[in-house]
Amino acid sequence: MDDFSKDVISEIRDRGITPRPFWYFLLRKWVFWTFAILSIFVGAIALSVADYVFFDNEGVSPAVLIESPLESIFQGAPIVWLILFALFVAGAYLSLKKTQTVYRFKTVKTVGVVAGITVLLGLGLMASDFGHAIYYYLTHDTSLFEAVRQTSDDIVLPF
Amino acid sequence: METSDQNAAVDALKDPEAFSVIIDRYRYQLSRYIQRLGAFDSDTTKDLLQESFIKVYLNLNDYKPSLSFSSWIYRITHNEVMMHFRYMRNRAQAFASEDALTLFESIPDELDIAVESDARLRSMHIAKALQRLKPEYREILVLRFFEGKSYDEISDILEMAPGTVATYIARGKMALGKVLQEMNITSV
Repeated sequence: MDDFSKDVISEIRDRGITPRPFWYFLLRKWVFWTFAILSIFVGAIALSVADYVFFDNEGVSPAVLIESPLESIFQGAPIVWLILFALFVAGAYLSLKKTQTVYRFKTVKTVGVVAGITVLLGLGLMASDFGHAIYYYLTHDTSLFEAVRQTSDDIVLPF
Repeated sequence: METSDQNAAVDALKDPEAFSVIIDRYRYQLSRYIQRLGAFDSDTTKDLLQESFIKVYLNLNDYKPSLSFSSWIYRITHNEVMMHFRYMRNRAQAFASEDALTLFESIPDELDIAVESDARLRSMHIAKALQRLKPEYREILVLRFFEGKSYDEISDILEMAPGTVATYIARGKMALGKVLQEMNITSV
C-alpha cells in the first residue's frame, strides 16, 4: 500500500464513511421504476380524458370538423390533458433512464416505447369510458379544475 | 494470483484496508484520465482522484457484475470530474507543458489526423486542440483514443446508447480536425 492509498483509506476512516447498504440501491431502483409506471398510468388517464373531452363532451361534430378542421381541433382540443400526457411520458422516460440498462437504447426508441405503452393503456381506458368518469369527477366534485377547463375554450385562432 | 476486481470489491466491503488493492490498481490510469479531461494541475487531480475513490467505496454495494468494474469506476470518476467542472464554472485550464508531454504522446492512427512528428510539440498541440472542443466531444475522444475504451465500455461509462457514442466520435474527430486546421497544425 503506497502513500496515496493510505491517504484515501485514512480519509475514509476520518470521515466515518461506510459503504451504502445494498437495500439503499434496491430502494432507489424501485422508486424510479414505480415513478415510471405511475407516470405511464397517469399519462394514459390524461389521454383517455382528452379523448372524452374532444369527442364526447365539448368536442366537435364531424360536420364542423370537416368544414373548419383547424379551428375545430384547436378550440376543442383538450390542451391541458395533452400537455399532461406529454409531461408524464417525459417523466417516465427520465425515470427509466436512471435504471440500469435503459440508457443503452436511443432516446427516440425509449420515448417511442414509453409513449406507445401509454397510448395502448390509454386506449384500454377509453374503451371502458374511464376518461368520462375522471372528467365528471373533476368537473363536479372539485372546484380547482374549473379554471383549467376554460383553457381550451379561450384559445382563439388568429385567422 | 491477482485478485479479480469483483473479489477485491467484496473484500473491501468486509475490510476497508482491502480497498487499497482497487486504489493501487486504478490509480494511475484514472489520474491520467482526469488530467486528459480537464488539464488540471497535480493538486486538483489528486483531490479529484481521492474523491472519486471515496465515492467508489461509498457505492461499492451498487456494483453489479453485468457491468465491467473498469467501466463502473470510470463512470464514477467521470461524474466526479463533471461535477467539479460545474462547481468551478469552467471547462478547462491551460496545460502546464510538462503535463501535456506524457498525456498525449502517442496519437492513435484511427484518429485520422496528421500532426507534426515532434512528440513534445505534438502533445502540446493535441492537448490545446482537445481543450477547445465541446466537453461531450472531448470526453468521448479521450475515452476512445487515449484511454482505449471500446464503444460498449464508453456507452456504460457515459450512460448513452452505443449508436450515440459512434455519432459523437465521428463528430468529435471532425471537430478536432477543424480545430487543428484553425491552429495551422495539420493539413487534414
